[in-house]
Amino acid sequence: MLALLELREITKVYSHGGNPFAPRREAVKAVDAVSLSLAQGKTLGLVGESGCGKSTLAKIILKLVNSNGGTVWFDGRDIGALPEKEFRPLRKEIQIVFQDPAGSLSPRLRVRDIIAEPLEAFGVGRKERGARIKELMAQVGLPEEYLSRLPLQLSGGERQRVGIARALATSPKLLVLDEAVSSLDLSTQAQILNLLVFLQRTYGLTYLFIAHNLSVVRYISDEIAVMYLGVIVEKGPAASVFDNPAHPYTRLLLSSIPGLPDRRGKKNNPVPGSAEPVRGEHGCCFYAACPAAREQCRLARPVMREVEKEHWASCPVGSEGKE
Amino acid sequence: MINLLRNKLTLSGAIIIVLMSFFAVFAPVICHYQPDDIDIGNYLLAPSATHWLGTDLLGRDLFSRMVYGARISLSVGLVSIGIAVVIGIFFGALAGYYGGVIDTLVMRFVDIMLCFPSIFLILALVALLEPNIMVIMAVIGLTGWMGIARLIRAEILSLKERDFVSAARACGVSDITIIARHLVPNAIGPVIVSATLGVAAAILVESSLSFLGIGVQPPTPSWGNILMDAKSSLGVAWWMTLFPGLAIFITVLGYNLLGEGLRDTLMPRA
Repeated sequence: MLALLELREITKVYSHGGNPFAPRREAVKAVDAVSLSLAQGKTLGLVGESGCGKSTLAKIILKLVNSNGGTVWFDGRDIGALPEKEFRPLRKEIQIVFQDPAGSLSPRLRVRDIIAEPLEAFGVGRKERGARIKELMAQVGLPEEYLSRLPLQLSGGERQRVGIARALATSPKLLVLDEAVSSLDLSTQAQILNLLVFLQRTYGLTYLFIAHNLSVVRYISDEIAVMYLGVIVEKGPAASVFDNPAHPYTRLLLSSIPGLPDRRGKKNNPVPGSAEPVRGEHGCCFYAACPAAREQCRLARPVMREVEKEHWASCPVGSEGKE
Repeated sequence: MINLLRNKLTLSGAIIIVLMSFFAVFAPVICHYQPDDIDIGNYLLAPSATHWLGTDLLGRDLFSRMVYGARISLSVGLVSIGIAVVIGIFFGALAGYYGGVIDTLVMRFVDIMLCFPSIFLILALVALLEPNIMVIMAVIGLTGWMGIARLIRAEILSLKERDFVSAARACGVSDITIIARHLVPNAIGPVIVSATLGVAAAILVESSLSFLGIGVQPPTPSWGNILMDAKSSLGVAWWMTLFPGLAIFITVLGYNLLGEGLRDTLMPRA
C-alpha cells in the first residue's frame, strides 16, 4: 500500500544553541534516527513514556520544529526540505490535535473564531466560512449555540471537540493526535475515541495517534510503534505487537497495563536497573533498564530485525530473552 | 469589572478619575470666567463666592485656570502613555516572538534607554525642541515605553510556547496575526496595570516640567505652571499653591489606586 507519510532516519538534537554565555548542557537527542511509514486511511499508534520524543516527532511532521537529519515524505513530496513558503499550502493537509484542550485554544477567542482561523488563513470567504463552521460543529457533535462561547465556558471533552473541529476545518489528509485523549476522563475519552473512529471512516482520514495509554492505542490503531528515548524499538501490526511483543521494553509496557493480567499469568515486573534513563552513545538505548541485557547490548547498537511479518524489533536477544 | 470596583480604594480611585475627567471635558460649561481673562483690579483675591478658589496675580480666576489646566494635565498623561504603550507593545512583541538576534538588539536598546535618568533626558530633549504640549507628550511617551516593552516580551516568551500558538502556526496563520490575535491580547493585563500607574507618573512629569518653565507655556494653564506662578506670592496667597498642589496629588493618587486595584484583579498571583 502507498504510504501517505514516510519518515526516514529523522533525528532531532537539542543543544545549548551556541550561546557562549549559556550554561553548558549536554546536547539531548530527542529523536534518534526514527523511520516510520503510515498508509493512507490507517492509524499508527505511537507509544512511549513521557519525554521519549513522541511530541517532538509530531512537531517535526508539522514543521513546527526543524529536524537535524532525515527526511519526511508526505504524499510523495519531501516536505522536510521545503521552505515555509512552499510548505504553507500543505499545512491544509496535515493538522494536529493537542493533549491539553485548555492550552490549545486561545483563551480570549470565541469558539467561532477558533474554528474560523484555519479557514481564514487559507482565504475562505466569510459566507462559506460560516457554513463550513456549522458543518464542522455538527460533525464533532457540538450544538451551534456554543459558537459564541469562550473555551473557559466549555468542559474538557467539549474543548477537545473544538480542537478537532479546528483541525478538520481545512479537510486534512493526515491528523496528528498528540495525546489527544490523555487529559480527558475515561467516559469522555471513549466518546472522543468513537468520534475519531467515526470521522476516520467517514472521511478516510489517516491518523498518527500518539499516546502512553496502551489500551486506548490498541483500540484505535492498525499499527503500533514503540518509542524509547528517541528510538523506535519495535513496530508492527497492532495485534502482532500486542500479542507477541519482541522487545523487552514493549513487554514491560504491556505488563504495566493496570487490570490486564499478563497473558502467561505472571506478575507485573517492576522496571529493573536504573530508574533514570541513561542514554548511551554506542549500545542499546534500553540497556540500563533491560531485564535481559547482555554484554553485546552495551557495546553495539542493535539493528531492527523482522520478528514476524511486518513486525520489527530492535533487540538481538529477542524472544529468547523472555523470562 | 464589578469585582474590581468592590474594593473601596479602587472605587475611590475610579471616582477621582471620572470626576477629574468630567471637569476637563465640561470645562467651558463649568467655568464662569475664561482662564485667561485678566482683571488687574481684582488680583490675589482670597477664595470667595464669586471666585471659588480666589484669583492670581493678574486677577485671573484660579478655579477656571485649574479646570482648564486639568484638560492639559490629563491629556498629557493619557496621550504620552498611549504613545509609550504602542511603542512598548511593538518592540516587546518583536523581541519576545522572534527571539535571537532581534531580541538581543531590542532588549539591549531598552537597557541603554533605561540608563538615562529619564527626567534629565526629558529636560535635554525639551530644551532642544520647542516646548509645546505636543512635544511634551511625545517626549514623555518616547522615554517611557521601556518597562512596557519588557512586560510584553516576558509575557510573550511564555505564551508563545503554549499549544494554541503551535496550533495557529500549524493552521498556516501568519506571524503578524499570531502576535496580534493570540499573543498581545493575552499579554495585555500587566500592560494595563503598568499604563494606569504610568499615567500618574506622566502627570507628575508634566507638572514638574511646567513648574520648571519648560513645559506647557503660559498663558495656557497647566497645574504645573500655575504652581510656578504661585511661587512668587507664596507668603500672601496660600490658595495659589494649595489648590493646584492638591489637584496633582489627588489625581495621581486616583490613578495609582486604580492601577493597584487593576493589578490585584488582573494579576491575582503577583
